[in-house]
Amino acid sequence: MKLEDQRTTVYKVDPEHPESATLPTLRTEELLLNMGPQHPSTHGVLKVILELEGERIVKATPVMGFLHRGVEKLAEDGTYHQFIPHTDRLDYVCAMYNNFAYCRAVEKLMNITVPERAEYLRTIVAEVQRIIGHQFWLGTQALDIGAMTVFFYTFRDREILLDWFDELCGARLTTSWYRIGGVERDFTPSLIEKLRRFLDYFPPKIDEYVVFLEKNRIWLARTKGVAVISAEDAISFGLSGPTLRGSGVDYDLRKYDGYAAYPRCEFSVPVGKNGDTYDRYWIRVQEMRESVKIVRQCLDQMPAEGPIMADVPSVTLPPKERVFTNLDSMIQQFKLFSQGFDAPRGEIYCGTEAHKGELGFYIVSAGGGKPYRLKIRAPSFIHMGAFDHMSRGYMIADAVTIFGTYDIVMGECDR
Amino acid sequence: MKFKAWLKTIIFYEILIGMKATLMHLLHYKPITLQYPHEKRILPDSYRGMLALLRYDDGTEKCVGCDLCEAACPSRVIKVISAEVPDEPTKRFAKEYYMDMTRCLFCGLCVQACPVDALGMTREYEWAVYDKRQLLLNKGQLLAIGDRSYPVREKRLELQHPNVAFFNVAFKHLPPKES
Ligand code: SF4
Ligand code: SF4
Repeated sequence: MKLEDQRTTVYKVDPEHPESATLPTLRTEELLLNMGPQHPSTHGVLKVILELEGERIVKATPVMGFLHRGVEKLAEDGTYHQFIPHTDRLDYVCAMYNNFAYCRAVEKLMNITVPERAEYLRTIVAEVQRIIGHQFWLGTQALDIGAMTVFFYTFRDREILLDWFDELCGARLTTSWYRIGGVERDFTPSLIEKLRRFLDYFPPKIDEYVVFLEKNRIWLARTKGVAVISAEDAISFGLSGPTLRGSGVDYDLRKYDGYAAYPRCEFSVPVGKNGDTYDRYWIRVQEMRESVKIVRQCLDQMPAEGPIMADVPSVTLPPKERVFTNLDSMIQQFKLFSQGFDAPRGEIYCGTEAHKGELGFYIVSAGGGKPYRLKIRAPSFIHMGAFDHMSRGYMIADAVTIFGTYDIVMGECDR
Repeated sequence: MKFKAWLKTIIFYEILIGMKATLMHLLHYKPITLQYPHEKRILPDSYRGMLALLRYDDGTEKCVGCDLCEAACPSRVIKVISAEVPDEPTKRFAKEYYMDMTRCLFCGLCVQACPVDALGMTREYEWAVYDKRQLLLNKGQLLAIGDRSYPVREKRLELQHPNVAFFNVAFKHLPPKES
């Protein structure tokens, strides 16, 4: 039978008995779409299996683990000091926060008090890192939505800070500047001057970024009312950081845990109302402004002189000059680098407010120089848990902006 | 008010103000990108680049083969085989010293660990090679990097710090310590 005949015979309806016709029924089913793992806007290697009805997302299943490097396991293999460089590679765009969170957890385990000057240095650098993180987020989120200009502008200013990091610790991204009990290097006068210059330069630039977005109808249409999550849901999914505060929950560890030099600074925590992408964007922009304020206050209040490392010989590394001249310090250096310090038995959890959310380190110590188990509470990972809930009912194109709204980095998510 | 909003909609007001911000930059145009192979960024002195072994000003190697860098390294880059200096039983040196730079994190822990400052981080970063095996460096190569990156060498440690721990360098001519 020829093709044409086939068509006519199958679809021909007998006019006498229309009910007997075998009309082909339109088959409808959900379309399964694999998005990623090499999609350019998945912020790394994330695969999402989307079940679609037309263009609407019915169900989204994130598949993670493409960037898994076994960082938690690596921690069990080395001393506590040796894990610091590995933390750089968790959230590789904001390494300082990972160092900070990890060092804080170990300090809590070992019960070390950090000297005052070091606390200020840590706070300043953490806030600078927060600015970098938010700039990065704003640039890439705008890029995902289709506004390219903002990306160039934020990266232009981010470069200044990365060069500042370069001068501070010798690396732009993989910083490893925090040490257990303090920091590795002190600020030099030129660093302080450069930072002050940046603080004057930066606030007008935030307004410049905002000009491109705040009134732009595409940006508003793509962010307002997208990825809405209510406060109760946000809490029960364990969200934190701007993603939680966007839903109107006023929770910021910097304020309510009061670590480092934050209790001595005046700053406000911006809180959103609607829990949509726009509110989270607004919070991040406000946080940049707040960070500028915090850095400025810290620079003013910081003691001009003072140790940058706690002096606990059994735990903290001795300064290099002492190693050269003092036998005890040299023995301490050898012991700390070869065996590490003797941690007490116990478990500790310590959360730090990174720019993405609460970055926590949970350490189980069975005594000895190595952690028995180390668990990282990575905000990106926890936020991915809410992805399905938040993306249901939105379009495929929104899926990209929904990853973006959490500010996920897969290095941290898969670890 | 409504008319204004309507007018803004039809003239694409937000695009106009965005274009204004962009065009303002045209007036004081200054490129911020570098044309990399032709222009290079000036790196700070503290830059953590390629690792190198250093020498004292009299040309002897600083390294005493103590293995501490090997122990400190988080990714097991370094391999040291130490030996005694012939005829000088208290002095040691690194007979062989290997670094597998493919695994290095450039974290600087080895430099911080070294008790005689025998390791340094240079400002070299252009180390792309076609063959991975070329990144397994031996002592001679590491010393050569140190020689070209640190032309000004330090004095011997015991001359810098007269009360230096004695097993560190075992320098015969050191005046005996009072006390
Ligand atoms: S820089 Fe870090 S990873 Fe590289 S050799 Fe030194 S300790 Fe090892
Ligand atoms: S720590 Fe320094 S002295 Fe010891 S083996 Fe390494 S480079 Fe040599």
